[in-house]
Amino acid sequence: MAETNHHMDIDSDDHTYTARPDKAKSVVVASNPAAAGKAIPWVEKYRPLSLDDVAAHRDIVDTIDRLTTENRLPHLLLYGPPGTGKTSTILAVARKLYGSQYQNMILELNASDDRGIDVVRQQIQDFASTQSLSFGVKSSVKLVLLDEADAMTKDAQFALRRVIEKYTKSTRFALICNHVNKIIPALQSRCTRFRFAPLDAVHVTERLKHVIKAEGLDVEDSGLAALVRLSNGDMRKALNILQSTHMASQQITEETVYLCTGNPLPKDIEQISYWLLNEQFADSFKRIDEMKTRKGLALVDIVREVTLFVFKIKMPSAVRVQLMNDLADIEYRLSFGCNDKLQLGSVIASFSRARSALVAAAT
Amino acid sequence: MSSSSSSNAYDVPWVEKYRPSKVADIVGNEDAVSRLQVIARDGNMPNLILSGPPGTGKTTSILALAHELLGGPNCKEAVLELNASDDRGIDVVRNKIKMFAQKKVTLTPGRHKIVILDEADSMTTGAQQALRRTMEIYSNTTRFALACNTSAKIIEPIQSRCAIVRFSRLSDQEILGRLMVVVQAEKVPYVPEGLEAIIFTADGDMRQALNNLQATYSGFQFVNQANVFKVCDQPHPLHVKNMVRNVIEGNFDEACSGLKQLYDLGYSPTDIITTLFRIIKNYDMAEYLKLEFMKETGFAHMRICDGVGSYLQLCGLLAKLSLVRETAKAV
Repeated sequence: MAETNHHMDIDSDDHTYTARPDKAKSVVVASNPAAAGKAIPWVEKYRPLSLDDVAAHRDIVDTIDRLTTENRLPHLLLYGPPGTGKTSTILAVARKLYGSQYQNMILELNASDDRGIDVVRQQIQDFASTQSLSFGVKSSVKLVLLDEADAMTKDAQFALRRVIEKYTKSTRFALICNHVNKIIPALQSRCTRFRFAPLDAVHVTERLKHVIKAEGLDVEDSGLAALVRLSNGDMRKALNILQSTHMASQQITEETVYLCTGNPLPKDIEQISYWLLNEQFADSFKRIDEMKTRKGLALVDIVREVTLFVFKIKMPSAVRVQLMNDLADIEYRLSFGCNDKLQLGSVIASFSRARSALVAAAT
Repeated sequence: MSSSSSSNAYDVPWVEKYRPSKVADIVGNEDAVSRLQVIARDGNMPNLILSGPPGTGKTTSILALAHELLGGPNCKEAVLELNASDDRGIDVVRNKIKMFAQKKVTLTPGRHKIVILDEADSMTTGAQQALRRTMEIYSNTTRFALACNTSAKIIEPIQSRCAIVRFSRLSDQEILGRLMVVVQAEKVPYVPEGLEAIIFTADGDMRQALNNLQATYSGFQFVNQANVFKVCDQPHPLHVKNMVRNVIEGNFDEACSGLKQLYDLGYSPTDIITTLFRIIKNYDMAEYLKLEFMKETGFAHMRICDGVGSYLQLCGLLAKLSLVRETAKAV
């Protein structure tokens, strides 16, 4: 008999937490639905429950839906950047397959669980090899869900390879990861792979508007645009920024969103770029350093944002090439914890050289 | 108790369904296969190390060889197969393998029991050390076949006790030949460009090719280029090729905007740089330039592996390639 995974029912409609009586540990039960609703991260509160609710990736979702309906579900490897709907999709598949029984029919392990070679050999193998009492369940195959599979050791992945083959009759495996190249080829080739690309700005905007309406928030258009821009197609990030900005200020504007995330504002980047291209070394250094300190900006963020701004400025290709080369080297050095002040000097020096080249090209 | 109904029957992976059962049927690596065919015919198999990249036929070769040497009935009795999903620590070598080696099995002359150690390069050094003596003591009755990706990870004393058979990546033609067999047997609708795309994504790995074919077919019911790249989603080679062309022609800005498109599609920097490397390797350009491009790509890959996988790093790589091109032009 497969062991039941007991979870707190955070997906129930009224958003009240219910604790199972067989747990020895005491669990706080939120009796007030409003209070419980507030406590739940919006990422969980608005997680899609069915495949129809999953934002974007319709071709992938429809394919998986069809394979599920036809009882031809293969082992799955879902990969792509964070917050693109991989876990939500597979949980929706599980709900569709097993209905109310879904807690009994899936074994979910993620990076916070022990998933070393022994767990693969024992826990996963035990779950896969036992029959399940699945009354009234549409599908009798069980599902092993390995979230953040790219964090599994190579040895554990190798061990998993044979387990997948051995228990194909009774169990499907779904591996979820960000970097497919961290999954050993032997596992990759045993699964049907689907890549979840970052969400389209349209889909992110649509979903955010739904949440804004449901929560009754006051969000300016500029604030919404900033949320979409900063999320980079990551729905989880967008919702988390929205929730944390809402906690910090009642009205959500571009300014409050950027303040909340600590990212440099577009107008700040414009200002910094102006100083870099026009001011003398000492003035430029002083002003940028002062802004960095006052606004709590990281130099690596400034460098990355300035890079994108550089492409908007008209300049000869050779100058841009040299500038990109220098900025990439500076970013690499910063990632190893090099002194910010020294590297800021290096950034200004690179722009000074670019400025000289621009002047030379103009004359 | 619920049991799998017939409607629930899961298609056998084509990798298993079309796995060759005879040594002669193995695709590619003619030298290695012909050596194994001689062993299959004459018997007296030496201890073997089969090394090479994934999906090139190592495991298939050993299994087929064991089947041909020992025949159907004896195969179960006289073969012990252990791979990375089995415990293969020092105790297993001392007990399980030793017990098997001591076991009496009636075989025809010139035939021996076979211990197959798949993915042997993931065995601990201690376990490998324990294995070396067992290999010697029971050499009269038991032979060992080790499959691994890199023979360098097998300790020297074991290497010296074995004949090494090297497998290399399969050629595009060899993979295409096998794909055609499967496509016809499974009645898969396809266009030639679709199979080309599968061969590109497989990169010499037959297992990957067959799985990509099955995944594309089960997902979209038709194998064309677009569907293959949806399932085996890598940065599109043509897109990357245009990027390289723009760099060579001095259109740095266009190259960067092409890169931005790929980056915004959510491809990981590793995926982009791996495809870029493969495109550069096959691109028609001056040899000096190609070598310099590959060197810079290698350095950029190292940076990405160090955890700096940003758009700026990839732009920096394109900038470095542009600088290399300028230098080459000046020379």
